[in-house]
Amino acid sequence: MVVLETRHSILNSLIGEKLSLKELEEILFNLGYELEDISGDNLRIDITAERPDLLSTQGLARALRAYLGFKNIDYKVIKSKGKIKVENTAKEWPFVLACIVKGLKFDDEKIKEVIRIQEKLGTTFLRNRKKGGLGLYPLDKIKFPVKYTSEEPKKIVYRPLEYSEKLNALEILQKHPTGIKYKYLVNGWKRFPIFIDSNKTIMSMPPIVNSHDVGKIDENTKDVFVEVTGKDLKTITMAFEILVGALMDMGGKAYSLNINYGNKIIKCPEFKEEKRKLNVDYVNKILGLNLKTSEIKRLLEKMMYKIKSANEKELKIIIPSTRSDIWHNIDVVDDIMRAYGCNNFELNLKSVESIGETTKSVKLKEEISNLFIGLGYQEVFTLMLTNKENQFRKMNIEESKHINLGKSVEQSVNMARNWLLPELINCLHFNRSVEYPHKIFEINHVVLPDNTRDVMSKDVLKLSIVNSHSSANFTEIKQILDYLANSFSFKYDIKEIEHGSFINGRAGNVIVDGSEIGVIGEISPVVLGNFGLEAPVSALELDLNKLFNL
Amino acid sequence: MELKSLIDKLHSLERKLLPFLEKYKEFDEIVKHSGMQEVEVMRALQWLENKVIVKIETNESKIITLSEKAKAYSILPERIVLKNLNEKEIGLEDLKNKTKLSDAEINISIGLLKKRMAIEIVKDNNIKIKINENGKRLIEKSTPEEDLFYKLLKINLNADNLEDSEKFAFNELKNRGLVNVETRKIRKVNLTDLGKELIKQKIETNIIEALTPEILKNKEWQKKKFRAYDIKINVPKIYGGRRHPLNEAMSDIRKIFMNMGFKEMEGPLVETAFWCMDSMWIPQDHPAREMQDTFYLPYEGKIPLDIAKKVAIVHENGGKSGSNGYGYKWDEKIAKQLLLRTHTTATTFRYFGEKKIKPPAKYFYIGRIFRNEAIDATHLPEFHQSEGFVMEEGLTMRDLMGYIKEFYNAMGIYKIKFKPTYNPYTEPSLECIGYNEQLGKWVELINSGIFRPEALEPYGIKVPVLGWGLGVERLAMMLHQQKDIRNMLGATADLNWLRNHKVIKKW
Repeated sequence: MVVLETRHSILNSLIGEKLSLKELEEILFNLGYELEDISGDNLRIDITAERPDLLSTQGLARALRAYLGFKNIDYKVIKSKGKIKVENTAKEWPFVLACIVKGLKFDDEKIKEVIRIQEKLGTTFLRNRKKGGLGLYPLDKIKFPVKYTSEEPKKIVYRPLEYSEKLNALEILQKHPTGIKYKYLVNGWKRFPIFIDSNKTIMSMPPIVNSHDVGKIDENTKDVFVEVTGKDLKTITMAFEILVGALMDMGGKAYSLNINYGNKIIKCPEFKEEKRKLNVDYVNKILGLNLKTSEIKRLLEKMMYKIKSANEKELKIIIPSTRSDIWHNIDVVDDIMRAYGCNNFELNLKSVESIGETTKSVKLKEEISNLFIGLGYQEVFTLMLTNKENQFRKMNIEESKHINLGKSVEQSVNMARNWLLPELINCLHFNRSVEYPHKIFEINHVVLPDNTRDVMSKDVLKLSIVNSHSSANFTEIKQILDYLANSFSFKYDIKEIEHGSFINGRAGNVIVDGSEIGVIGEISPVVLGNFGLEAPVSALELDLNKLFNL
Repeated sequence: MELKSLIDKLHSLERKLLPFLEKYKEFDEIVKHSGMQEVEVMRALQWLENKVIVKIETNESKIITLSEKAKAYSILPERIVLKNLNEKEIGLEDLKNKTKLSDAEINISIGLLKKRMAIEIVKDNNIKIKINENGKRLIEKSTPEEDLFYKLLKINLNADNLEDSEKFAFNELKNRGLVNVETRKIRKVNLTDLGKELIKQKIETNIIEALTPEILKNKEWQKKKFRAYDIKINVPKIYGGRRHPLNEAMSDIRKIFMNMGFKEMEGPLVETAFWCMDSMWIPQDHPAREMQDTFYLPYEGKIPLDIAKKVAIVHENGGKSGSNGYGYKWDEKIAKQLLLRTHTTATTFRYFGEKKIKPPAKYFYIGRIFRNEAIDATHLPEFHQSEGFVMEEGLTMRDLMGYIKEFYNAMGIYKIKFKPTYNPYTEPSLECIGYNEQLGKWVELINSGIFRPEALEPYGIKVPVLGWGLGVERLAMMLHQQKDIRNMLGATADLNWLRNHKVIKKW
């Protein structure tokens, strides 16, 4: 979700209809968006990420106008002879688009709106400028023709936006707030992209920061030079046209520029619209409706599509140029559903024959849990992600094979557990003040490294059970094991072991059919001390994968 | 009637005690005369007081008792000395041998007797003593100290109730360390009006308290009455073993799916980015793949090359799916990254790709998933998702909505509405909002959609596949009205809450 901050009054004046908040909320809901927050005239609207064209008040107003049946004016671009020369670009950032928009009457509100659109597109659709960056300049400060080229960082010297002095490019990355924020984007680049005008004035260093002298718009700005640069032409074209479209909806007139790549010249902006053929049957087959061509046409127009031609079976449609999310006809069908209103469908339940079934692990977990519940044990549900401190150090053992995590936001997390017992003992730690006895168990997965598998690991279902009270002892836990073995008809043997987590002489491996399937014993006072426990603990942990061949 | 029911419910201890309450008021006396143990009397009195049959007054009193030293005497040493004197003078050594008293006792006794002018002391080389006329008279009668001593041998006295004549003697004994004074609570038991009424009634004392195997065997119960219980009385709380609320929620979801004929899937927790994302046409530059949202493992996994080839094509140009594709070069290395799966749909696509599921098919899954997030009241870095899919020729959006309604109905939610939304691998996609009667509000629980053609193309699936999913923790927290997930899940879970959590009305 991306939030569009806007004003009720501005939105209504652009739509040309006084929509009440309730009406607006309902329309937005039907279209799939949400009026998240209202404070006076200020609105916050949740927009889903696939619709960057709705990230401006102007863009949203166009969509709402169409939905309400009003006509939108097509974006018209006036041809000009202005040129951008593209030469010796940075190989990481090769593409550029630009045009001129004249006749804007900027006030404070509009400047904020333009910056907001630029920011929103930059952070969401352009993925924090990783795919491209947008820039605006007051036209009167620039002398054409403009060149998009590149230069060695230390030779790029200019005064960056809102900064007091001139810096070279490397200094900008160290000192300027925007430079610091985005320096990772140009990490390892030998040459940095720059715009330079015919006075040899450096206008900006994309995708980092504009020049303060020629790249800052204010209330006096009427005409602007707009550019986008980046590495993905398709994406930057979309972002560029969304921004230019919004400027035109603010009253600006767009003049094209010819971008001369040497081998080809692109006239910009194009507002190029994709055409698609849409089969009527296909629409009805997906939606389960019986729509006629005329109804589909009406619904598509509500969603800003233009219809080139239509017959009973097929429509030739034109997709709005600012739509980045139409890959397939299914996306057009989705828009038809939105226009139709998904709460207007008659529900159906087609019978699809199959028999309900669960897995062996689930069945086993249910059966074992039933046994322990019957014995009065409380089931707990600890976390898979934990840390080495709990799993090994506090348990008084050496590290054993486990899955390490890369970077983790949560500090207490650095590995996936490879046994359950430490988590149960930690649960005792957090419940020291709760009435004893504590009799708890858990049946859940741990993750162990396994190079033979595609995911280099395997999930193992384990059972752990813990007693803690003033007289908890080995007998009590062995009774549990006996009860389990008897109930599930398996025979086991116990092999005495030395194990840091348990008291010597009171710990053993559980052996079934010659293989070790778990540990049993009384927990060592060292471990109890590490977890701040004052009552004895006896415990059992079994590998259910091994025991039941899961 | 009320009195009768009151009598029926009297415990045998109360019955045994009641007759003594008319005569005796002080607790100690009651204990002494009833022949019952102190705790028994105490308990019986408490019950009687609860029923307003008696009123217990507690006063503090200074109680005089004999000291350990005094308890060893049957008569005071001065009397022993006196009895062993006559008109013939006797030396101290001889007196000591005769009386078997200590030096100190002899000295005190002589001092006392001298004060009472009962003896003559003759000083020769050694001190010698003889009785005088006054002394002879004294043999006939006891001193006030002795009177008090004998009294205290029998009972403890209240310091406030001493006669004036006793007060001097008390001070004497106190100075000699023969008595102690301690502050004690004195309980006085008074019958209330109800109590006075009650003891006029005939109260059977020979009744059955607990029914024992012995009583059953000797058929004693046929001759005796059972004591009636106060069956409204509060009893101590107990708790037993319970399933964890999250597992209960999962079991409930599982039952719904199984009743609807769905089969359960299972899949690995560690996944390749391929199965978690690429396989279902999530673009390789999708924000959800970024470091801050996903736990990446610092090494690579393996991917199925035959399927990967087909996946690469739909990403790059849409292949035969009718899609434009993303128009980028698909990178195998990105797909090989290992991660902790971020959704259970990874497993759904393994079933499409590895198990080659063919229509008609209905499957579901309930599994653990991970997000690289910090822990707070509503977030854990891991949680559970449940999802189901239906694969069959001719399914439509109307069926998707129908299945979801069916699912919601099984959860006891009947009022639902839909909102279009966006998911990268389903189109159209719907959020499904249900009205929870218990909470009296709309809750957004289910996300759903029809799988995109590009997502299904690599597996040769040509029929519609409807899918929906929901967050299990969210559901469990809502049902149990638990605001802090840490109280429910993880080592931090509150065992007290787990033991006492409510059974959910189905549903």
